[in-house]
Amino acid sequence: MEEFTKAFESIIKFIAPPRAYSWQTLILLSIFSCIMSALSHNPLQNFLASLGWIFLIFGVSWATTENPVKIADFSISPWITGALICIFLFGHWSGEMQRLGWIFWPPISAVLASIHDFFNDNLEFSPPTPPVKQRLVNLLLTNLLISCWFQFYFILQSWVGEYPTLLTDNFKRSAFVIKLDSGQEILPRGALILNSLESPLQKNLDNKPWSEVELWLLENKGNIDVITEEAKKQLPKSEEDLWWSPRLKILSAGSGYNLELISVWQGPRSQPEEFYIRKICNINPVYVQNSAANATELSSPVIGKLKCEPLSGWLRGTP
Amino acid sequence: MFINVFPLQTILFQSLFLLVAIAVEGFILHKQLNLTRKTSIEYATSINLFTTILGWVGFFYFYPLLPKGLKAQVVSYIFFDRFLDYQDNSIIILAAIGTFFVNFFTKFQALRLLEILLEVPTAISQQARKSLFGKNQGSVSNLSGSNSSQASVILLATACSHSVILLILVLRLLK
Repeated sequence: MEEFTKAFESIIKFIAPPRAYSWQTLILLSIFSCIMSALSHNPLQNFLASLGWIFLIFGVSWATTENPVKIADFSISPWITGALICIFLFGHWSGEMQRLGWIFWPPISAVLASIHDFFNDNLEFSPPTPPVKQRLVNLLLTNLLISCWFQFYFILQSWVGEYPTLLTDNFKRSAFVIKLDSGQEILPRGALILNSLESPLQKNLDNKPWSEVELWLLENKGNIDVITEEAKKQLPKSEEDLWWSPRLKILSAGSGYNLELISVWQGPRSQPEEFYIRKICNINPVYVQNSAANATELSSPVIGKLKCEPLSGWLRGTP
Repeated sequence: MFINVFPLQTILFQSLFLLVAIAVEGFILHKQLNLTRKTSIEYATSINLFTTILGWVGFFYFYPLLPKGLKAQVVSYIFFDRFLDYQDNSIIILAAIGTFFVNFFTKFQALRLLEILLEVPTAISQQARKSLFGKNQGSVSNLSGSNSSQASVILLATACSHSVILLILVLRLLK
């Protein structure tokens, strides 16, 4: 119980402002503004929230200047304040803008770290001397380099978004990036394409008279661009569709045909051979009983029945 | 937002190359331009950082302008260290030679900019001062010499640092 009160007292001593003009005042003002903003409505709420943030930023900046957070004798407090500023400026915007937050964080922190060099003891603006300038130049350039690294990371993310199939591949030889496993099974986009090819095929072949089926197969032998176009319309558009080329192989099997749907990936890959993914459908003629028929007449129409098996393989080599 | 690809090697290799280049070029600047060790390392840091950042900005600017086929090649090279359906790797050698010259010019300009920024008295301004005041200004430790001597020193420094970087890359290839 005593330890609890002691801890409580030390916290109060830390937070309570020793005098009006101190950083604790600003932090308390910030908490007050946040509470007030939670209790009010737009647009006052936004204004109070922003005010709360601004007080927090100034308060933290002041606090960390008086008690700098150090890593091996190097104060990182400007980076903390810079992070708060960036969160405030870019935090509540959507995805694209959040990248800007990361990219602006190092330069803003560098500017904060160098502000005190621009004012002399009388708080007048005075340009720094050359030795100090040299240090500032190096500080600013290092932080800009870190921004470039962040931007490169975002470009990599956009590539992975444009070409999702790349994630299924092996990045061992890369001199630039490593791949971290998310533990999720990622299907190459070809799987989506093949699955969506099934419905146009069904439309064209299932439950149709056998002669139509054979005519269609003859027309579309090896070249299924028409139904591919139809299939692609149903899928969300992706940059990498350019590199997928679907093909159709027709093999006769028993009384019907085996349709081998293959989607070949010709885009960036880790091996020289092409990768492909395969789906086999077969179409068989089925005799249908004419219910109202005369038992002696066997004029039963023959229709095709399409049955597709699930996808197989993300395989290498030429199909 | 889960991290699935991360440019770890980029950061590590670039930091390594920067440190090596700064060390080598700092040493050469110190020897050739008679600067103090500290000043020459600081100069080398600034010009190398400047060149690297300019390189990144160039990449960010030119990549979106490439046609789709070339973009795929770049993606393929960065992720898989090979080109798409194109076995010829000589483009890398061309890129290396081009990089050397671009680096050299950029570093030279960076050094001149740095000297202007830091108000380093150059030979020309020293002459002007001499004729104005008619007396010898004591030798300034930051005096960097004339333009052409600076250029040759930068050329030497760039050549040496690139050679060391090439050595590291060859070692990595043989590993």
